[in-house]
Amino acid sequence: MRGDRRARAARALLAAATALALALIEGCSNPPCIRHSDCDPGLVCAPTGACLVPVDPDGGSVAVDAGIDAATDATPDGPADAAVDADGDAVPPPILDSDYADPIVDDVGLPHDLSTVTSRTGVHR
Amino acid sequence: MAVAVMAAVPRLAGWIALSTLLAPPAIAQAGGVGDDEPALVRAEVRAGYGVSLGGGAGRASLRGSPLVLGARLAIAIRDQPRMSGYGGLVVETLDRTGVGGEAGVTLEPSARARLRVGGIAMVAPYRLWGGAVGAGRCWRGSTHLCLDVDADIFVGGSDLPSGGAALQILVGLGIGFDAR
Repeated sequence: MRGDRRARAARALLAAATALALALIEGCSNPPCIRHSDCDPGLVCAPTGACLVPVDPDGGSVAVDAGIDAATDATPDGPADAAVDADGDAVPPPILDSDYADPIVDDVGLPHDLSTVTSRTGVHR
Repeated sequence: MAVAVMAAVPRLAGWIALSTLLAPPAIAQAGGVGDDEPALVRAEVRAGYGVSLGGGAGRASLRGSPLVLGARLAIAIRDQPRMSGYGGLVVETLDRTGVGGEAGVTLEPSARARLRVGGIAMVAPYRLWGGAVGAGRCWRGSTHLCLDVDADIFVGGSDLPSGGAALQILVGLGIGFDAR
C-alpha cells in the first residue's frame, strides 16, 4: 500500500520534471521577451513578446543608437522593420527619412505608450 | 553611486555562488543543531533556475528564467507549528544582472517539509515586485540541504511591459545551517 503510494508519487514527480524540461526546451528555442531586461540594452519588451526600439514620443529622437539607423532608414528592408500597434497587430513601417525634423508621433501612426516603436531588432539570447 | 552598486553586483553574485560551493565544510565546522532541537536562527544560500511565463496583448510567452541566487536569514517566530520569518538578498544573473530582496514567512509542518509565502522585489537596475510562494523538502544534519519549487509572481515595476505580469517557476537548491 505504502509502496504503491510512493510509486505513484515518483511517477508524478517524473512527469512534472519531464513537463518542466520540455517547457524549458520550448521556451529556450525561440524565447519571446517577458520583461524589458530579457532584451538587449536599449530595447524594450512589447506586449507581443518582441524586443523593440523605443522612440521618444515628444521629441522624435530615438532613444538608442540602434534606433537611429531604423528611424533614418528611408527604405525599410523587410519584416525586421515591421512595427506593432497598441493591440499587438503588425502595422506598416513608418516612412522616415533623415529630414525627419518634426516628428509628431501620431502623424506616422505610432501610439504614445510603450508600443511607440519603430523597429524590431530581435530578442536577447 | 548607482555605477558603484552595479559594478559590485557581479562580484556579489560570484561570492554567493562561491559560498554555495564552499558552504558544507564551513558549516560543518560551525556546528549545527540537530533535528530534535530546532535553531532560533537559520542562514541559507541558494540557487534557483526554471521557466518564466508572461502575458500581455492576449498571448502567453514562455522562456528560461534568469539564474536566481539568494542569501537568506530566517528567525523562528513560533514553535508549534514551527514558523519562521525570513529576509534576504536576491540576485538575478546569467543573462542580466539585477539585485533585490525578499521577505516572508516559512511554515514547517514537519521536520523535513517547508512552505513559504512572502514578497520579492528587484530594485536595481530595474524595479520589479510581486509575491512568492514555495514548497520544499530539507535533508538535515549539521547542514541542511533543501530542494524547493518556488513560484514568483511579478505584478508591477519598471521591468514589466505595460499591463503585463510575469511568473517564474524555479527549482532551487539551498544549503543552510542553524545557529543557536
